[in-house]
Parts: sequence; structure tokens; C-alpha cells
Amino acid sequence: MNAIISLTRKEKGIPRPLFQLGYQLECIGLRFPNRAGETVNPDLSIRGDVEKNLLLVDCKSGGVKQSQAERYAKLTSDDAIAANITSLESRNLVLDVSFAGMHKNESKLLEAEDKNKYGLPIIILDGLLIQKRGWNRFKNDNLNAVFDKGINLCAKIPTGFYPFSADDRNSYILEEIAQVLFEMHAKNLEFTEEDILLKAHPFHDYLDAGEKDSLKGCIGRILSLVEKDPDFRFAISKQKKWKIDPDIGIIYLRKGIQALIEKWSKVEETPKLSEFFSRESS
Amino acid sequence: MPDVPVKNRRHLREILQENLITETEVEDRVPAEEEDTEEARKRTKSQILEANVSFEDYVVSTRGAFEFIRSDDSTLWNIVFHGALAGYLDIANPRLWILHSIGAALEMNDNVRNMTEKDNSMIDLPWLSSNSLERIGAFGKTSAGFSLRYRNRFLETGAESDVEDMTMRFWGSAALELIDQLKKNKRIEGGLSLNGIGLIHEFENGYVKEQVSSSGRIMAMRGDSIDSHFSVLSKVQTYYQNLLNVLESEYRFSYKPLPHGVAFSGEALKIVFQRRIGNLRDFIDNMFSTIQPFRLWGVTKELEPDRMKVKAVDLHSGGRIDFEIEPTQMTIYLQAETCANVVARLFTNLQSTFDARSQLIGYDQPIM
Repeated sequence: MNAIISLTRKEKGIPRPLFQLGYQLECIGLRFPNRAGETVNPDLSIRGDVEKNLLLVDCKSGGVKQSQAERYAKLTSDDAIAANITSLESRNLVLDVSFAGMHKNESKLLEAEDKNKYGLPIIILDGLLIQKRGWNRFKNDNLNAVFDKGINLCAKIPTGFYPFSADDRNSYILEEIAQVLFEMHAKNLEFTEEDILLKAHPFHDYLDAGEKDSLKGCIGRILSLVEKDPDFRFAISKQKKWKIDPDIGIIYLRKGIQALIEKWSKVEETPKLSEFFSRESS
Repeated sequence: MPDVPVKNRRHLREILQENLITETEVEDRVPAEEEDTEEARKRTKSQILEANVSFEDYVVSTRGAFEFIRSDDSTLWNIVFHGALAGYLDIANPRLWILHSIGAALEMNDNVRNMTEKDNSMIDLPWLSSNSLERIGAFGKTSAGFSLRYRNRFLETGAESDVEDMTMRFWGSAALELIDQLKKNKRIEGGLSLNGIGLIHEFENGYVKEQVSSSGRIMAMRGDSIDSHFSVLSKVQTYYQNLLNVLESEYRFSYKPLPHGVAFSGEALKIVFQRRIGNLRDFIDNMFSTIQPFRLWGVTKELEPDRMKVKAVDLHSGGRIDFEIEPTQMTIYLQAETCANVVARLFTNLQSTFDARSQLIGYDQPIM
């Protein structure tokens, strides 16, 4: 998500082909009905003023649900206009819808497309290269030109635009929620997983229920791990609520979070046995 | 400082004007040559304060420490600290207050420290970077001097410093030319961080010679026109207000809820260094360990061997700010509702403690 968003930014020093073509990020975390009343939930809408082209992108970390893909495939510019999701002029609006994924789930996305022929372009972040894969084309030729050729992110994928998802590792999510833990500690508040999610994830209201539950589960799991940690037990559970140990100071809190991020990162970077064997056999 | 609360703006003007004339006469008799002597002088001076809180809430939060005595003007207050009149607080600009004083500079510094240093004080200094001070120097008819102070806080253990600590004061009209000359010296350019600029400003038929510090204190060294002092103050205040406005309108993230999603705006900022950070972890530990002057709390995660992500909190206001730090630059993501003063504080202090040549870049050009 951060990689796609970065293509629309004004900042020099990172590749920004969509910005250079007059595209701007319009919305994050969309949820709107098509004209049949079915809800679609793309992650990004990117508005191309020059060509009156609206690009909707759904970023996937796994495969694609058939019903969801069918809804996207049926989506037309009239749906976008009827749902009033863009400030682009409605006359001659061209709607493009795309899936975006990473190398690890590329085959799942391509297999789903091969099987069901949704006709949606698929863009993949492979290492530092963002490129269109498969045969499907955007309606807008500029997008085809940009994504066929591929965009090399030059060693840096910005991380600051989108917070975290349930697929992220514990060490990453702990860092993402650290500022909220600090705030709860400074104000001496009790809190739930939902409180943390609300404060740490600005797109909380637009996540679907399943994703929200997954994220709350991740946060709860992380807090439980902190509570059980033999060295840094700064989170305390209290009747379905949490609290940061009020006896510690902010410097200790920093040290504790930092130590856990580093400890968990090391474990996460060690390949699991199953991954090792599957790599060996392939 | 005479224990005379001001009744209104006219009264304030009279007190400051009278003190300006008196102190100019003292200066004619005994010119202050040393900084220590100067700080003991009771010159007319004004400190800009960056406020993230309404005056009413501030009064409540500081009850017991400061006492505020009202004047006839609801935006002008007398401040009393430990039973003594500490200054006159002008809150006409709700974001950038001005504390005027005719007491000793040392006393004023203590009072300002008491107002700003506590965590979550919501009152901070404005932070005028070296580049900003150069621009402010040009507000005057002529330049009148400069001071620079560089303290290398990022010395690496066992390594020889590539930039030495240095301090310098110069009084004279050739200040801006001299700064340009000094910048050509490769050996010292990394430490050429201004922390004060002098200027002579004329207004109507009067003048004032001012010293503007990087922490937003504007001290009238001599002169005959308090209106000229007010004019300089107003220009510095406007300059800084514009800077905060640009940072907060273009470079601060904003999430606007719409019926179908969240409209996002805001761009990343960059601080680009000419000096390379040798040890990223040590640098980050130093910067985000809550100490002055950075006042940042933050935790870090390695993204790549030479690239760290930091999620930080500004202890002045509790605002959130994220970073990606590499050996020659840092990318800054100013989160929604975070006060942009944290960026000015960070940048100004990095110039005076790490690399005076660093630049704050937005989109593709320097901002301050």
C-alpha cells in the first residue's frame, strides 16, 4: 500500500510516475455500493485529472475471493459516479480497477485470474520493482505504459503513509502502536485492543469487519506477549482491559518496547523449519 | 524590573520606550562587551512563545506556578512569578504569544524556561534555524552582527570529530558578508550555525538595534523607537507563523472522513545532511531519548542495514511524528494534528549540534 501511494506523491527523490502524469491520491480505504447494491471495498482511489481516469486499487496480501473479484470486474464508471466517490468530472470518466500484490502472493492472484478471467490488471511489488503481470490491460494507455515497463523504487519503499495490516509481523505492529502505548501510559489510562486500533490506525472505520477483528487479534496477541515477557512486562491485563505499568517511566517504556522489537525481529527473521524444507524441495 | 503592572497597550508602550531610552544611555556609558554582562542588563526585550493551548487552559494548567493579572485589554496580561512581576504577556496572536520584559535577561530566560521546559507544557520556543536567522537579518536596514554556536552532540566513540565545537560573536555592519566568507571555509562550514543575528531597523523617524536569537528572543540593544522594535517583532512573528502554516497545511498528514472513504493529504519532509551519520543506532538513541533540546521519545526498527524507522512522540505537545533515517538524510512524516514546531525545533537543533549545512526540504526545495 505504501509503495503504491508513494507513486502519487510530489516529493522528489522517489519515483513518482503517477504524480508526473497528473494523478493524485484521492481516498484511502474506500467502501461504496455498486448500482446493484453490492459493497466494494478497494484500498485506494487515484484520480488522473488529465485523462479523467479514476484508478481503484485493491491491495491483496493473499488470494482473491471470487465474489469480490466479480464485483470489481462488473464495476463501471457509472457506479463510481452514482456512489459519488470522486471529484473528477463525471462526463467521459474512465474507470480502471486493479489488484496489487507482492511477489509472495503473485501466483495466487494470477491463478485466480487464469481460472475466472476477471479481466483486471494485476500489479506486483517484487523486491523494489512494481510491475504489471499477466495479460490484462488498463483502459488508460498511460497506466499500461508505466506499469508494463515497471517502476524501480531505488532501494526505498516509504513506510509512513499507511500504518499496518494484520499480515505485518509482531515487531512491526508493536512499533506502529508504540506511540499510542506511550499516550496511554502518559495519561495513565486503561484501554482495550479496539482503543489502540482506533488511535493507531486512521483508516479504522473503513476496514471491513473481518480485517478489524484480525487487527484487534494481533494487538491483543502482542500485548499478551508483552505481559508474559520475562524481561519487560510493562503491559498488565485487567478484566478485558489493559494498562501500562504505572510504576515505570517513559525511558523504561522506550527501552522495553525497543528491546522487544529487536528480540521479536530476530525470531521473525529466522526461517521456520517448514519454510526451509519447502525452499529446499523447490 | 519595576513592579508596575501594565494597564493597557499604551501603558506597555510607554514602559518599554522609556526603558529603551534609559538602557541606550547606559550602553553609551558602559558598552556591554561580554555576553555575561549583557545577560545581566535590563534591556527591553521580547520573547516569542509558540502556544498549543488556549490562554485560559494554560492559566489553569500553571495555577500555583504563575499568576496572571489582567489589564484593560483582554489580550494583554501581567505575569507574576514567585511574587515578582516577570513580564507582560501579549496573546493577541493565539499561536505566537509575546512575553515583553524590562528585567535582566537572565531572569527572563529562567521564566521562559519555567514556562516551556516541562513535558506536555504545550508552550514552546519558536526555533529559528541558521537559514531563518539569515533571512531575518535582512529585515533590517543594515546588518549589525551575528553570533554562532555549534556543539557537536553526535561525536562517535573513538572517532575524531569532523566538525569542531565553536562559538563566535561579531558586531559590525559587515555581518552578512562575513557569514558568506566564513561559509567558504571547508574546515568550519559544518559548524557555521547561527544562533543570533543583529540588525538595525528604522521605522518612521526612529531606529532600534536588535539582537534576534535562534530561540525567538528579540532584544533591543539600543535605539530610540519602541515602534521600530514592535515592527521587527511583528515581522519575525509573521515569518514564523507563515513557516508553521506551510508545514501544517502542506506537510502534515490529514485524514478527512468522507461517506465513502478517507481523503488523505500531506507530503513527507526531508532533512538532507552534508555530514554522514556514522552510527545510525547511536545517532537515533541520542536524538530520541527524551533529552533537551530535541524533546523526542521514540522507538526504532531497522528496515534495511542503513535505514531505520522511528515512531516518535513530541514531548512538548504529545504529537506523533514518524521518521525514516538514513546516513545522509531523514524523511519526516508529520502525523495529523501534530504541531509543526517539532520540525522547526528538530531542524534548528540538528544544525547547531550535527550539521550546520543540513537543509529542510519539502517537495524539491528548501523550506527554512
